[in-house]
Amino acid sequence: MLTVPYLFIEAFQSSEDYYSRPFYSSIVRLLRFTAYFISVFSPAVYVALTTYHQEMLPPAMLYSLAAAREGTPFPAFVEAMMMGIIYEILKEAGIRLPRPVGQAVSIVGALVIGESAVSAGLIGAPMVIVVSLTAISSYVVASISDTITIMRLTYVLLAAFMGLFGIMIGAAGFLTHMVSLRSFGVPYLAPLAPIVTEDLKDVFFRPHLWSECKRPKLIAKENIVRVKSDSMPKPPENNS
Amino acid sequence: MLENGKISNKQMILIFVICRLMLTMAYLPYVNSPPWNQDLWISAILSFPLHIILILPVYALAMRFSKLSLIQSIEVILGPCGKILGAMYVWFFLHRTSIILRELGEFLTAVPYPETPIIVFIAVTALFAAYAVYQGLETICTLGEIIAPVILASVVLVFVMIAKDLDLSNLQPVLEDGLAPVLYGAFVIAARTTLGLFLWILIPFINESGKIRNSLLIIFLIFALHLSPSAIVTIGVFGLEQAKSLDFPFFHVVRMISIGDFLERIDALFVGFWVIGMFIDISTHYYLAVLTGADLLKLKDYRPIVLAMGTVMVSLSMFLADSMVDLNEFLSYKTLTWYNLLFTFAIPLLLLLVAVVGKKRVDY
Amino acid sequence: MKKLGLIFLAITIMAAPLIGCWSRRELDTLSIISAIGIDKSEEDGKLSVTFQIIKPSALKGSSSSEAAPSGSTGVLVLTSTGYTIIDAARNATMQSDRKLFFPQNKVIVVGEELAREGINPLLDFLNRDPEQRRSSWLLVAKGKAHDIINAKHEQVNIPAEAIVNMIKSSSNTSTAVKVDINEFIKNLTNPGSDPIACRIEMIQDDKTKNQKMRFTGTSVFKRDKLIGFLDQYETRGLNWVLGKVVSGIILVKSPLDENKDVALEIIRARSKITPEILNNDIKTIVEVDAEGNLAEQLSEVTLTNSEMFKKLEQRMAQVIKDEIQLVLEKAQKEWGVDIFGFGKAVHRKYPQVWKKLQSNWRELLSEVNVEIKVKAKIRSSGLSTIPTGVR
Repeated sequence: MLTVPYLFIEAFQSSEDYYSRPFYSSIVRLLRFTAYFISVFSPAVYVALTTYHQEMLPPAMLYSLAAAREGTPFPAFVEAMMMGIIYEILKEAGIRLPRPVGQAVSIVGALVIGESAVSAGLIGAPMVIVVSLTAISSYVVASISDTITIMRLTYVLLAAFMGLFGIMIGAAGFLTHMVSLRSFGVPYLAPLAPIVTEDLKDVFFRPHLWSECKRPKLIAKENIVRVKSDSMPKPPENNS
Repeated sequence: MLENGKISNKQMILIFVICRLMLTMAYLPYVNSPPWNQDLWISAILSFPLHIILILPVYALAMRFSKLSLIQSIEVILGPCGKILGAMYVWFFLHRTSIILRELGEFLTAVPYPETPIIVFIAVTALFAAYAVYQGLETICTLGEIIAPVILASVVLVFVMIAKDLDLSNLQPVLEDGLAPVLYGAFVIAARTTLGLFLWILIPFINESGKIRNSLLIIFLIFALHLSPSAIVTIGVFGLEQAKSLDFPFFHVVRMISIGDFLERIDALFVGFWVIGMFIDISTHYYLAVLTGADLLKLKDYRPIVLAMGTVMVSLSMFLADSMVDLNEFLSYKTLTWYNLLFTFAIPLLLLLVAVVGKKRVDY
Repeated sequence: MKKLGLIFLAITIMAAPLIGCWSRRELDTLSIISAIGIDKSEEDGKLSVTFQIIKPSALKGSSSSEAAPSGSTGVLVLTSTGYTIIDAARNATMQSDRKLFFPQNKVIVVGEELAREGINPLLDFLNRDPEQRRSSWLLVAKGKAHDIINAKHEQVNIPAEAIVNMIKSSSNTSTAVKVDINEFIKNLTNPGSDPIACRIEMIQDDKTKNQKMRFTGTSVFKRDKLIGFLDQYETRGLNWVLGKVVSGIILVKSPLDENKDVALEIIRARSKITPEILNNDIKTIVEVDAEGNLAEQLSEVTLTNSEMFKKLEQRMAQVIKDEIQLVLEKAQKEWGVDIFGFGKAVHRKYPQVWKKLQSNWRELLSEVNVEIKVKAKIRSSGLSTIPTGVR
């Protein structure tokens, strides 16, 4: 089922949220935001930190990462691009696999590429961890996972070019692009930009069902009221 | 009309605040300007009324011609010879954008990326800013709306995290040299703003022009409330002598944050936030320069001159100063104060007098 | 057409990483430095700088096939000479195969001989270099800094970590000072105060014939030249005046059994310095407020009643006063250095008078009349009241 206009926030909202209690659904929604950021920024941040900003890492972590990189032939950027591309290949292959062969091929993917490449000293173990984390997180917000892939690869390129500055400028550029988009006349990033304070309650956490009495302002321009706004549960007025 | 977008008051507040705050966050140039003692925080608070006084001519002028932007109102007041004055303003904005670009490059070259040539940072930022300028006024202001709360919150977070290393006795004695240097310092701080010019250019595009007075008060209040804790924190952590000798005081404050043994060395993160804020700052100034230029040349749309102006700006940034020391000398309180005041106070005051005397007014 | 031009430009810029970037440093091209020691070199006019460099592969021998032999440390020590610190650092790259990486440097040790000549030239590098952190700890070695950097510590692989941990846990006895570069430079540049730094030396352990590192007091500077050392109790006296005592043990004689000791554990302490100037007569009042617990008693007297507690409190206050007197004797009268912050206190309270006194404050210091008021309080006595053995 397709609803229009489609906003950015809708990728993080799912209908199952509204069947559970609001507190737990809010936590899950925040988890989705975290997963989005992990999925987009992880490889880029890893490349930027280990190539340009080693002083940001805590000392023990720095020593482990440096030890893991001791024997590997490629710089971190090449590793990240290689692992990203191999992961995309695995994903595409997994879609078109005949079912009997499925198990064997996934084991090949995991064991050969992950385990053996690390033991042979071709790829550092932290890189494998980062790419697996990225891959799994990208399924949490499944509806925009294609844009996540493009953004991720762009950020890795920018990070290899200029480190954290590159990532931030790239984020600014992407943000500029997203802000200027409109979906059927409604700004794509509403209600985050321009800020519509009445609608912000449904973005980061799931509000109570009895507090959702108005439709989003920018979508339903005249038709705002859903129900009368008196639905908060309270004890009955006459003491019965 | 060159621009079809409209911005609301809230967006105006947030974007003006960012444009004013960004350079003070990294450079904090006021430590080396009057007063030369630890009463800088009092200067910051006292700059609030002085801001209001200094912006009065531009405010009155903008309100008088509230549907015309800068160049158009100059032409109404002075006739065709206003073009020269308009060209001076275009130069002022170009110059200012180049200065900000150069400061961005200098900061990034000094600390995180020492071997990179400055032009890389300037060119990349100018390119992305050109993209933002293409998209128009609404995009830039909406960007400001998203980013400004994040940056303000991060600054407050820095204050909270450094609180345990603060030594408030460094701020005493209070009013050691009397009130006069403090007032001079407040005047220097207030003279650095160009927000009046922003207002003058953007006034045809603001939605509710009745509430502009309140918005301006809020902007100046936020600025004073931000600069004062910055001064307190910088002098509290480093002591006065050190703070004067540091190039980027607030950045060093962020470097000194150390909580619970693991939250240390987060200065690169701060640089990241600062870069995004500067990006919006540069986009805004670039946009204003382009808009003013297009107005002057009587173009139908400002888009054709974006890249041309961008190239001029990048080259100008490289030629501005030979090194960072040169740049700092230009930006010290001795020269920059009077240069700014000429364009933001003196010329609008004269124009206002001419407009009042000549009874020129445009009412729709 | 414009969009095409922009996209082309963007792609060209993004292809730049293939060419090679300027500030890029791969992790295995770094020599991570954890401590540096600066000494005077035998050659005239040169400095000899010792670097303690971490070997990450020796620290983590688990993932690769070679196991690290037990007992080896994870550091490599290099010494190089140069006319300035940064000169020596670059010269070190002729011995090490990687460029030195300073941001993880936590410990800076200055040799005694060099400190006596003046530490100010060394501080410029520490202040100016963007990689060096201002929160690194500064120590002065007794003897040569080279020995300290070369030393090994049995508990951790990286000796610099051991030094940092020792500094952090020195608040358990409060007989050492914690000074980082920021603090040192602050005290140096302030016209009314003199800096201090912690002192570290190598102690010979008689049984195992090993040398171990140990903190033994404070090094005191007059302006920027090392002038002398304070021992542990004098350092604690200094900490009482500065209000930096966090914890520690005070030994007093037991009230009814004078040749046995009672140990009182300090829980917290505060201090306040108030100057008073009356007709060119400078007087300073130091008020110390200390709280403690009865931690251990060797005597078999019942001490847990209020009369005994009062006696213990008096003795505790006397011990504190004595420690402060010791350090005042040495620093104020004998050396004439202001490490207590008296000058800063005068500046805060009497700014106009300070302007006149500022230039010869150190000569005036020995005539300042210091009055010490100590208030000691003992709160509790642990988990038992009557000592074992009394019946």
